[in-house]
Amino acid sequence: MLNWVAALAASDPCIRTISGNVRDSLSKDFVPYVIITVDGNNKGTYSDEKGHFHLDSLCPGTYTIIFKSLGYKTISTTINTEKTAKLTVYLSQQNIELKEVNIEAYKSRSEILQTQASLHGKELNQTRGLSLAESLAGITGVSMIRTGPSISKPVIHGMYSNRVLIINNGVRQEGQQWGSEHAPEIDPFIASELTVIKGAASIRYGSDAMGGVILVAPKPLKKQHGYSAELNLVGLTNNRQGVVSGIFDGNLRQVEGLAFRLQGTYKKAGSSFAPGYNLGNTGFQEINFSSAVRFNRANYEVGAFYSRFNTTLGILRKSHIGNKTDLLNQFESNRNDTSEFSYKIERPRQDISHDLLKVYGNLYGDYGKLNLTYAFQHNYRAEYDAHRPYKNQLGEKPNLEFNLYTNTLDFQWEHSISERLKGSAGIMGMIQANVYTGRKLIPNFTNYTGGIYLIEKYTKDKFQLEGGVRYDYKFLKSYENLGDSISSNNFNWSKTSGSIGASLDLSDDLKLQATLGTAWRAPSINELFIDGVHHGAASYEKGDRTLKEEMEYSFTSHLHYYGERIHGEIGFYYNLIDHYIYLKPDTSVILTILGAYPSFHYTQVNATYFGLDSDLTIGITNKLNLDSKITLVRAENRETNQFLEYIPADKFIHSLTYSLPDFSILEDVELSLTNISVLRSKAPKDTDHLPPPPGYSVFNADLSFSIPVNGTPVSLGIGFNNILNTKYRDYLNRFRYFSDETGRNFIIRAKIPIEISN
Amino acid sequence: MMNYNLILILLSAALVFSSCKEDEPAPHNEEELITNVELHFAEANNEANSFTVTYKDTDGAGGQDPVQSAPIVLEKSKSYLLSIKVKDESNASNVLDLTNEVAEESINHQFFFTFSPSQLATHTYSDEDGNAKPIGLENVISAGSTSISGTMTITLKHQPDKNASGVSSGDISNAGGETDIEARFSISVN
Repeated sequence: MLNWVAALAASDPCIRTISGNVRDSLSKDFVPYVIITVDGNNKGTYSDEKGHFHLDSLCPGTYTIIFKSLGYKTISTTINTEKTAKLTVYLSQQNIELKEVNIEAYKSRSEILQTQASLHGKELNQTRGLSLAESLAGITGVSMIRTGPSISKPVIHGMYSNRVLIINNGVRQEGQQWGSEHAPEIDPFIASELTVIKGAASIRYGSDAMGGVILVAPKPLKKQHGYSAELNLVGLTNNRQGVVSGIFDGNLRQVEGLAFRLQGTYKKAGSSFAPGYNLGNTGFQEINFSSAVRFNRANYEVGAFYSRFNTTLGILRKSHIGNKTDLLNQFESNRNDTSEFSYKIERPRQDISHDLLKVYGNLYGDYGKLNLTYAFQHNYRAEYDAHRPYKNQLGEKPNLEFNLYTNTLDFQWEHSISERLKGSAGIMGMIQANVYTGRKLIPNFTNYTGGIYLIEKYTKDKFQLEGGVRYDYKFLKSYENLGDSISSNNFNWSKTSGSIGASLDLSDDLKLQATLGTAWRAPSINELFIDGVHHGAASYEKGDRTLKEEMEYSFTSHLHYYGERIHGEIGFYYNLIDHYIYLKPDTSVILTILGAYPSFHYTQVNATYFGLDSDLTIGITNKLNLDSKITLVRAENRETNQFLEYIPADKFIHSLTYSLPDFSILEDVELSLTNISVLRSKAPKDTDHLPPPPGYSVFNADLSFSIPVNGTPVSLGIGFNNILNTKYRDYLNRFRYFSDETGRNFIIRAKIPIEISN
Repeated sequence: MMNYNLILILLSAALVFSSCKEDEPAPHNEEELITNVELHFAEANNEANSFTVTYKDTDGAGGQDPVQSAPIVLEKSKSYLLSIKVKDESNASNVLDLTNEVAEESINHQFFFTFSPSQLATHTYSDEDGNAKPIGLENVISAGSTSISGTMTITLKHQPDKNASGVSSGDISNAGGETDIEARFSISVN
């Protein structure tokens, strides 16, 4: 067996090689970028992104090889080159916080071939205390649509609400997401990683993921025995907000394979300050709780998760104006709020609660991994308009309440057909019912959705090819209250969508990726049926029940470069959306007893969305980094060649980050200065009450460091937002008609990990 | 072994899923709307001469436009007592009179009267809320001395600033608050 080696050994003995792969001891996934060193020798290497490594030119002998990777316990193994040439190493996860590392070494939560970005570790820490949309707003390609300081929704490549899916711990989040002032009912504190998939990811996640998908992923439950906890404290000065969030993880020694988690968050904020005045009634309060349990054995795992999200949000008092006359008076007088700061939340306000219960099971074997997940969600949303109902018996009741009940069942099979060909197939079903009380805006409905998909990915050296196909069926039954009778309407839609993507390593540092795919979206209940005044928008909206489904043909691509001093990526996308549904202003106003309202109706047109996102980091010196993020989005009405409204304006975010040397007890000190510049939106002027506001530029600063306390690193941060107290309005904030954005804000963050072993 | 577990899991999931079939949601409606503004005019010194004009929008926003039941015709130089009632007629079999509710929250409400052209008539309040500020459910309208026609706009403001300049004498400019009613009546003086 070693004859030819022996022959060669005579000439040069030091040609021994050791190669193999590194895997995670529990999931059996390959671990990339593991640092591999040979003890007492200068040799060293990294495992590549598929977990493979190769050590060569070794002289015959016995070596101790050390495997080190962040988040895993370092192990060493002794081998003799004459006996072993190949080796598989299993690393066990360690429960210390991952320090932020600027290489793509983390396991992305989504394996599909589509442009994506993740927020975890230090970057996620810097967003603690913010809402989900605010946390993601720093990612290139992502923006926010806001309704004042307390309500924000994520926008991916210009799309939001029903065109962006949010997957909350593996469950498709279902609430009244059709409303642009209905923020996602998710506590970002449950997540250790937030991933944004930019572009149509419909095959794997759902046919209507036209703009993208947001994955909210908690850290897996403890794998080692013992207990650990983490406490997060955040204080913000602008609205005198306090946030406290705690998480407690345990893995019982007494019962093998049983782990659990308890988590909770409390937030209280008063009314925000714009430069020079207070935004009356914009305080809010949030109380969230979640718990999880997991039981596993070698070849199966079962678990459950329950979360409750509860919030009361104040709405800027002067935004609940009456009619067009009031609106115009508002613009002419530009009278600023004379409110005083207060924690009191009065009418108008929103009261929301969201319950989520998830039960799942995984089976592992030669066939791959099977997963079955059942989830139940109850979303309750109450709107309290400025005016209490006239009738005393109705008392303090809300003007409108929604109760949405959703059941989902997901079955998925992840498999490897061969070393090169891996994929997944799945079936999902959803049954949903919505009931309202109070003001008639949208009718009650039941909704049945089913989908089946298949994705396969082929990997060969530097090339990856992925193809997928999905079929969805959706049935909607509406129940309209006509006073003395109920009018029922049935709708159904079904379509197949497909995608094909490829990725090519042009060199060690350069990777090119492109995806072509289709997605479709059935019109949502408000687009079909809405009929009423939209308070706070001073508009009357009318739906159209003859609307057809939207159909998207999408192309996304990106180029990724990882060099010594420079790394980054640039992405380009181009989407054709046929039958794109949007709210079009009518030429005349509508007359009601409250006066005249500008009138809008839902209609469809063929549209195009395209744009560019780039994120580039330049290492000016070893300690100084410059990061530049550019987000450009354009959306056009293909028939009139005019720009569409409510598309994000061009955004440029530049940051300078300096790593300071350790100073007495302070470690990992980092100081950054950021500039956010947004240009004036190019939206057409005649589609809105007011033309888009001028562009603006805002400066933020952040200082973060950690202090070891009894061996555990306590992470601290001091942030300073809108340093210059700049007075500005953002086009995508529905309150720009009434007030400015918030002014200066000091933020103090503390993250305290507590390890309570065994 | 694997197959058995798998079947068990699938069966239990199917059971859970089917037991959660939703019943048809029965619409439950408890909304509240002002649909009618009723103006009751009575000649100041001859209260037998009275008439009522209603501004009605029974189907709420959208659908049909609001409708004025009859023209308002006043005799020149005469004064009229005007009392206002607000009603909810969205459900024809159960018409609700909301005037008392408005009167109970008098501090938070004020009616304003604007005439276009201004020579049509003048207006004076004849009622007061708990703070000696006007409400506008009871008023005196004095017709002008010329024969003209035009519009009388009655606006009901919720939470106006009754202390702001001119508001208590019926000037809407600094009132603020939000509009609950803005009804335009065609009116003529003969």
